[in-house]
Amino acid sequence: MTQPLVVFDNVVKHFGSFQAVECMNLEIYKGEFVAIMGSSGCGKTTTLRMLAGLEKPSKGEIRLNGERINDLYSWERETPLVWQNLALFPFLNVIENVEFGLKMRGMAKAERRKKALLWLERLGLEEFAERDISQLSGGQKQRVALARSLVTEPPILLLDEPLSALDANLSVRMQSVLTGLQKDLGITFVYVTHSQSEAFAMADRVVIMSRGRVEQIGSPQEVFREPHNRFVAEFVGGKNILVGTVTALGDASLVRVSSEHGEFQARLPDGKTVVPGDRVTVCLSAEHVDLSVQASRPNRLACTVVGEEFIGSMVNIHLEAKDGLELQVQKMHADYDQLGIRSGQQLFAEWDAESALILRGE
Amino acid sequence: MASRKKGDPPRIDAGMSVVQPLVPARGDRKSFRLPWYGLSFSMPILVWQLVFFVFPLAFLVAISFWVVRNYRMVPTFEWLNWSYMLSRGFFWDAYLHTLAMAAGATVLVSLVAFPCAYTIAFKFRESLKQLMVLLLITPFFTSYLVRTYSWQVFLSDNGILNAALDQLGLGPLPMLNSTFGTYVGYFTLCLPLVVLLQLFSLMYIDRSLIEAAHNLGCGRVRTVFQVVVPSARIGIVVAALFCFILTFGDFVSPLYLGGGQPPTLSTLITDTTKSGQQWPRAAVIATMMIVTLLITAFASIGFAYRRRA
Repeated sequence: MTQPLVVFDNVVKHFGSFQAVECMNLEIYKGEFVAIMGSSGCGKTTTLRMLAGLEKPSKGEIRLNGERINDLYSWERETPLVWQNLALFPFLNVIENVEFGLKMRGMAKAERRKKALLWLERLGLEEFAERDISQLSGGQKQRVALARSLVTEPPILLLDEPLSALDANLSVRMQSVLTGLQKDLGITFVYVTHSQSEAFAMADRVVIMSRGRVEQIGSPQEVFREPHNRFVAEFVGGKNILVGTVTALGDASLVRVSSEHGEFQARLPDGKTVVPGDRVTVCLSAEHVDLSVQASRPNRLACTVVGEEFIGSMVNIHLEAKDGLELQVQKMHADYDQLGIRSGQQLFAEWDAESALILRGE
Repeated sequence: MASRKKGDPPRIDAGMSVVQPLVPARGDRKSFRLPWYGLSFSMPILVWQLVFFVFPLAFLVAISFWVVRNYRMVPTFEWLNWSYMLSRGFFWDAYLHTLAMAAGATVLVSLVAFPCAYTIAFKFRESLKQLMVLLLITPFFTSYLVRTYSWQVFLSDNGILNAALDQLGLGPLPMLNSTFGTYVGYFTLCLPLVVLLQLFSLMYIDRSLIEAAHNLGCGRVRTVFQVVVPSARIGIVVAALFCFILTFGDFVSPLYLGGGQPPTLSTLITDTTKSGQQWPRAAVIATMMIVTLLITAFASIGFAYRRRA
């Protein structure tokens, strides 16, 4: 296996008594698009800022190309960052902003102007070269910030929620600009966001953080299909969580679980073993739950329909079991229409044993 | 279409579209209205400015065209005082001296103030910053004249500083009644204000701009010149402008700490009024000073707000 580009080796960061990042271990490879996500205050921005050299780790080691960079100042490393507010210099025009990094590296004026123009062209900004920053739209500013960071041809680009200020349509268009750039350049992108949809749409791997800890690292598919714990399951959304006790081991990876809501079968993830009596957390994806008026499968709960919401092509149906447990079910519009569901209706929520996943962690 | 007379009612065509009269209706004219609400707040200050600033200023300029006969001023319109003053070597000597002293003070005070304002803005924690702002205001509690007099106690030949130097076997150094003395006065007058004005512009610089500069390969010292100074340009220029205005017109420091020689323009004004009631000639000097300050102010504000380098 090739040497990773970036290594976080037991990195800890605290501000006074506040533990911002607890024992971070992460390897990022060349050409990867890694998204670090979590809710605000989870330590994702601090992680990125440590990599950019804007914060110093309290403990542990950060390596870039195998070399320890803990003690290098930000201006001594090649880790350009795109700020959430973009941090474009308002006293410089567009091309001067883009040239800034080259100027700092002592490149001659004619050469750096040529190079900056090339990047402006690449991002479709050549006609704005002499404009003031204040005369640009949000999306144009975004592209100037990208050009300014990429003009020095760094091995890695760090992005701190760069799309959060844009409207939804523009944000989606910028996502494809970003992924396109990343593929073309073949460099590593480390992207911090609180938006699950941005992370899942763009990243090869996502890192989910909560309260300074890494909760799970994996491809978007892995994280969505097999969340490691309750936090990740709730963070990625569209999951129902049931807590119960293992009563019997079945064939292969299926076990019987007894919960206060009833008994059902659930699947163990690879490598996890349980014995009867263990407490387990079971995750049931909203799209894997079926609804029927007549009970037809062994894994089911009797529920009442309490509400529904339309999200694009899907419908989220909210159910309540008789002991107050809330379930959500996701259906395509056609299926939903066929069911003819109305609020207050009694029906069964059913699922296949394979769809109920026992989580590795709590 | 048939011709129509003014004031004809609009006619309705077969197609039911309304044909507008060629002349707009009278009611359209009421778009001009005085903004009484805004005026009610701004009137008092406008009247004040008119009575106590614009009129005296116009009067000052008018006086510069009067003449003095038998120690009495006679209202007239003659270029006599202007041609007299502007052809005197001593006037231009004083003018250039005052300009050089004020410009020197502006540069020196700004240079001394900047590291101080920078340290307070970027290195001090919030509570200490507030304390510093308070401390920078305290010099204004005492009259500038009193502070100038107290400097005499320190600077005179047998004053505190020379006594201390004497203990070390040095001196005495002639500090009072010298250019050095004048500059001590100018610093007393301007330094706290310049630090404050610079501080306010530095405090509100977006920190991410500084981090972005570091991140793009710009070291600490270089960032000060590449990012901090351009970002705080308006504050730095306005602070310098205040320093120039205050020192250019200052009468106290050049006289009580600088010894009055060579004379600055304000000294020249008092001398001119004392000798033979020459108020019109003094008015010429004053008008020249005001014009100089106006040009400087316009140029600096233009420079401060210029869109780019």
